[in-house]
Amino acid sequence: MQTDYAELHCLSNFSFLRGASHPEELVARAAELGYRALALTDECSVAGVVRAWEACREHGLKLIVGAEFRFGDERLVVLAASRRGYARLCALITLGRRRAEKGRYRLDWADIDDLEDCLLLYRPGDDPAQARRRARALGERFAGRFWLLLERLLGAGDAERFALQRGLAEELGIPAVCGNAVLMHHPSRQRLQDVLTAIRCGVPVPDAGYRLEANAERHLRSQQKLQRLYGAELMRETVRIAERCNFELGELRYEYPSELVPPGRSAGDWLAERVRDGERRRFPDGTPEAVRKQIEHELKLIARLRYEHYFLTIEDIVRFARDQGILCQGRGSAANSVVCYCLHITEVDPREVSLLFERFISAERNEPPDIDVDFEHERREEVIQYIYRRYGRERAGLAATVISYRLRSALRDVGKALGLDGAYLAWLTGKLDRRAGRAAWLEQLRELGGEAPAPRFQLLLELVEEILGFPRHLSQHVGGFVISAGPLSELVPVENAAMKDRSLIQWNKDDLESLGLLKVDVLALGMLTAVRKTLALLGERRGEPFRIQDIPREDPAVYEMLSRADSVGVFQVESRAQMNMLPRLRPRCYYDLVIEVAIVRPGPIQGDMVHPYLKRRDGLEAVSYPSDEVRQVLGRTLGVPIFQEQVIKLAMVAAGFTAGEADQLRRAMAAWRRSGSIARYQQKLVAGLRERGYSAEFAARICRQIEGFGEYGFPESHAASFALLVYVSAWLKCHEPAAFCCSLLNSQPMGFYSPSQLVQDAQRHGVTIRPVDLNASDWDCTLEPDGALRLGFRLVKGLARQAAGRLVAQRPAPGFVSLAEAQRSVRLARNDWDALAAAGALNSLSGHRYQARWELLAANPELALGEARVAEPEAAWLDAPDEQSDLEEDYRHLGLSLGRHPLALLRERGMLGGCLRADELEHCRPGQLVRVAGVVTNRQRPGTASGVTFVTLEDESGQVNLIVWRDTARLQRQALLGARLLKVAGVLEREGAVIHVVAGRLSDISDQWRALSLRSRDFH
Amino acid sequence: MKGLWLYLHFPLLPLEMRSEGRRAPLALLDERGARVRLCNVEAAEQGVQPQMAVATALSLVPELELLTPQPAQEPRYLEGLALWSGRFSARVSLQPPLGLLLEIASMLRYFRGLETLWQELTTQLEQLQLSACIATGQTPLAARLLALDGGFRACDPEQYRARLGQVPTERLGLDERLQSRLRGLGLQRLEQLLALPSAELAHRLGPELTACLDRLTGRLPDPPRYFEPPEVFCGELPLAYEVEQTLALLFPLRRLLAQLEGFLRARHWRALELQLELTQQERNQRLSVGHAAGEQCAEVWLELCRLRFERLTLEQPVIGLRLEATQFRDLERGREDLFSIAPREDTPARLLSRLQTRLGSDALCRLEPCADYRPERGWRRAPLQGRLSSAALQPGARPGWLLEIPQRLPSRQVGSAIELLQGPERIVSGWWDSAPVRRDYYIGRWPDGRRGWLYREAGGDWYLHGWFG
Repeated sequence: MQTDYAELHCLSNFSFLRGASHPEELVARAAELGYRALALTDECSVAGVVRAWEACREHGLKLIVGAEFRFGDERLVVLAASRRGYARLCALITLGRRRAEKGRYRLDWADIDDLEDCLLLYRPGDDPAQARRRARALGERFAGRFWLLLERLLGAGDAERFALQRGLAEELGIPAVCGNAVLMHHPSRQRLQDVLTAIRCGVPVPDAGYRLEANAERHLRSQQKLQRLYGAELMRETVRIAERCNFELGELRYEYPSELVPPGRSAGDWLAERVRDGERRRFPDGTPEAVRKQIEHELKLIARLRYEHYFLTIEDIVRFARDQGILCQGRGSAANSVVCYCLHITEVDPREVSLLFERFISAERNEPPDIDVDFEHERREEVIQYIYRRYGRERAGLAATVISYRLRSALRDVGKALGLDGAYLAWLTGKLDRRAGRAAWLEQLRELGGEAPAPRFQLLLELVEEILGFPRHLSQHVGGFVISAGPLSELVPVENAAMKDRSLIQWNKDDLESLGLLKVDVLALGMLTAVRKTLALLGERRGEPFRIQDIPREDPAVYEMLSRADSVGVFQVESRAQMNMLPRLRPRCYYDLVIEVAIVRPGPIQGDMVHPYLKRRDGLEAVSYPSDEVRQVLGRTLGVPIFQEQVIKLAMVAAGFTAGEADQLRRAMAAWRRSGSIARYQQKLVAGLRERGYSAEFAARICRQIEGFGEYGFPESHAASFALLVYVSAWLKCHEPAAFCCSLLNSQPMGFYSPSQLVQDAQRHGVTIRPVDLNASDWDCTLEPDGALRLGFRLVKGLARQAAGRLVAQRPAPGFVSLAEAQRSVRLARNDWDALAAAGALNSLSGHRYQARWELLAANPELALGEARVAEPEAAWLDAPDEQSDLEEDYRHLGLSLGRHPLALLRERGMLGGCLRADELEHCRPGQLVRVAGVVTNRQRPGTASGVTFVTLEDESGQVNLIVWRDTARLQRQALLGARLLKVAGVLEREGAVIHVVAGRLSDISDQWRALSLRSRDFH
Repeated sequence: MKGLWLYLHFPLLPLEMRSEGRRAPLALLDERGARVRLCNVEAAEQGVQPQMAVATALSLVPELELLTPQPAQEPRYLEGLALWSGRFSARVSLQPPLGLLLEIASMLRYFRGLETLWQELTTQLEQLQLSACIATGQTPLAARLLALDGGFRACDPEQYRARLGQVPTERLGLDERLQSRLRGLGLQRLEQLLALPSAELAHRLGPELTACLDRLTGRLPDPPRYFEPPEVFCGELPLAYEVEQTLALLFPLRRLLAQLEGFLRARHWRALELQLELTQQERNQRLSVGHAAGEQCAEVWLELCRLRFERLTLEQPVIGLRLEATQFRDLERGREDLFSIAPREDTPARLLSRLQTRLGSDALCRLEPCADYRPERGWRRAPLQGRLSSAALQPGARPGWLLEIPQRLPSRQVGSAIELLQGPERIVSGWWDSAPVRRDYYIGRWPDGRRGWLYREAGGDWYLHGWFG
């Protein structure tokens, strides 16, 4: 059915908290109603148009790109008639957005000046005189492309207003057109639309009053209804306008910045030359023939796909970082290439891992080159500012991340809008097991409502389900830059980010990919910071620079250490799950690390690929391949698919997918959470695999694996770069534990472990740690001449960095002799002294914290006006704190303690009756009943292990790994979730070197610590 | 002469004044109604704690009864107790929010020692079902700190000093900054503070602290401000529950009578007649109970009330009590000295409030607009007090006279006898409550020229909703 109508004024939910339908829903509904075209005109935004465009391609509907602007109660709709018009529209949006804080815009009528190649629709407000003035002025300026927009929303006085405005158009000789100010694809969304309004206004729906819409008329209306309200002529005008709009988003072509290529040279030439430069550095003894050939092959491919500029852009950024001494490392499919190795984008040597390089970008796979570059996290900002400097803010912008409603936020906002009590909502949220996935937790929510839920609870359920996935605001992507040849704002509008000096574009990375626009990911990685700092410390000690390349490769001692799961602080493999895997996988070479990094991920785990792989590795199961093609794909992982790339390739060789289909599968995988459109590929995959003789069981596992990749995809091409950092950091930990720990402490916050845990681990490896000391510490932690690690002022909570800097600069070489002298010589703020005292950094001068504070107070400038009293030897009035108080202050003000572990104190006082120490568990036999106790350092409920909670306890000898099954957890929830000190009776389990305690009875013994203080006080 | 002070700390006062002796788990909410402010022993035994979110408390104890706070009432509780304590001391000081300070040195002779006074005090509190921490001290501050720290009674000076020394310094109620300084110096108990030289302390921590310590030890005088009882007795007690049987009124009444007795004893008066008002939903029942010779003792009055209640039928459930006594006789004198105090002159506000009291609080109200598209909800009754809301009037033409119940119109009249002049105005709203509407409104002209406001429901039925003037 064809309707002679095009909706020209339609807002999606990308007009945040106004529109109540997704762009895809609007497109589908418009197509269903037989509209000729649909204009998506979100308020000062084009953030939703790419999604609409994709949906339009699917439905064969014409999309018009436009935007709505609000001026008081007047509205202006601007539609792009051509590529040039689109550029003008983007520029106008950018102007309005850049003037205002994040999420808002500021424009006035004076800004609406030329708007070349745009069509303008004006809807008057309530003041008729103003309407006449405005319509006349705009009508003259934009003659031939200006319409009066008549909208009948059936509010109070609707028919009268319609007649009045129609008369105005006739009187002024301005053409009129109709529209519906659409906010939803279907009237059934009225409830949600009201809720959105209430959320926007921050009041419950019943209190939103006249800020709500009076009825549900702002939807895509049927032909019949349109005809009745507007008549044929006004409707035909919409079609005429639609026909004048001839801009198609697909026309947008990315143009690379040209300045990277010297004048007179071609990009291909220039890239080849840079690669040759790199070759000379990388292969000083001459490039091996095989490598030479590979380079030629890669360059040819790059030329064919015209990706030269992309590689040059990244090379330029990386070169800047190298010049600044900022450590960086590229990853991604295109990064695993000899070209990238030569351009110093990666350090992965093709001679070591040749098998990775088959996976370089290919012409068949229509995927854009993918290179993410990680930089030291503390210095990434320098790189970002370089990009802004090099290309200007007009040409470089960060991609957006669309922040959408998830369970917690949906429940909170909808609940509040329905007038539910905040505490009640928090309670509800707490009751839900959030890892369970969308369908499951909606089910849980339903159960909480009981058999016959209250009407309001029913509403909550329905509306929460509807609002899930609704965008709330745009935030900056972690580091995805778009750099263009011309002004970026002619390609896509730019707006302000929350962070000062940052701007972002209105599209996210999926949108960019859909349009084939390239982005460069500039990411931050803490481990690079730590590695660079360790290398610097070692270089200092050795008296010559020490670089990553100088680290001996494939050192057996390193693999030995990792196989013992001795990996605290090591990149990527320090988590508890990885620590459990290490002794089972027992890595022996670099490629094993690549697998190690990728195997403890939702994909392989949900696909149940881990055990088969380990079995084959241990020789317990024969390695076999159903066909030679499959051997090609799975050979390097013993016939078990581990990597995302392998699954996609498998779809091609074993399930008959075409290259195009495989590419769609890849994209569906990435967007799985968003669209759920993966199901149809899964069906095809299963059918294809079955046809070719694979078991249904194997096919099902592959499907689950694909879903797992959707949760958190981690391709081989990324794992390969990460594995290198795993090796490097492991080598440093193995051979230079003091320097490594020192650098980790100096790079906080990063990684999986707290400074306290890092320090304890270093102590267990024989490193001497010395306390923060007014007379000995620097801001950073340092290595003392005898190799001991001296904690730095940076660990002192509440101490300003400048204060510490002054202290160090003005400290006499032999140190201060008294606190009074220190106070006289260095002027620090009261807080800074207090922080130092609290951290125990003054203990070497005053004996203990209480005395230090007592002395500091004597010179209290606020109380003793005029000169501070002459320093005299302070009488010791105060008793020293007991061991427990010292420990408490250590943890509170320093985050760690060099004193005894709290558990040692409790044990000594006999308060842990019968509990074994962590290091005693090694001597226990599997199945033995044991009791353990410790500080709870970690609680985890991974989505991949249904219902299990992993808890890590720490005592004076190390860590105890607990497994708490679902039933145990449910019955003892309070102790499990509330305890800081936990005592557990359970059964010891052992798998190789991995020891767990399966928890039986849990007791919260947090009170013991308090009891300890009471008891010890009684001794006085 | 050394002073002797007695401090009463009522930790659960706002809850217990409203629990009417019930033994079920109870919790008093905070002002926002989101968290538990206080809970009784029965609730605490099942895990409810102050500060706990209501939802959590309810999930622990589903039958927990929740009391909403009445902050305006709370100062009166303490004043009531001050009246009651008149029997123990003529010098009583209010220590808001939850304490009373009694000077008792001068009373020991009357009570023949602290032991008897203490006995009587605890017996009385038990009868009134009020929990209290009680402590004696040589200074007001010492008594207060000891009471807050759980209570203490000792005559042996050595014991007294030792106990006082054990009190945590937090009890001093110093400002947070000073308190955290003390923590930082490891000064956790009063004895540690008292052992330090005063000058050193003052130099480091300021004179405020040492002054406080001096008040504690009595080096600095610390005279409290004494409570001045009113000229006439008037006690009120809102009930947390509706009471339907007269006998159930006796418990709360006992509290009021205990106050009265304290009031009378402090003045050496007897009351001749009591006016008791039983507050009810719509109107109040009043009754008076007299005693020809005048009486002081609460138990006697309670018995008289019980007798009076026997021939009383409650018209409606009782939600509050109000006890007045205006006629007194001096304890020592005869009948001829009877005097009474005339009620004060009426002000307009008093008139309104009395009208409200007589006619019920719902009988008087104002109208205010209310932002809701549904015409029947576009306005509401508002209480006399308080500001009118600033909600805008409904958009569009609205009739001056809105029918309470829309009147069904025969469909065939619409468009024929009734001419439609304006419309439609579509109102689809109110899905969130029990009265959603889907209507198209029109203005129509009746054959006699009247203009009415009518609407068509989604189903096609027509209704008249109002008349234009």
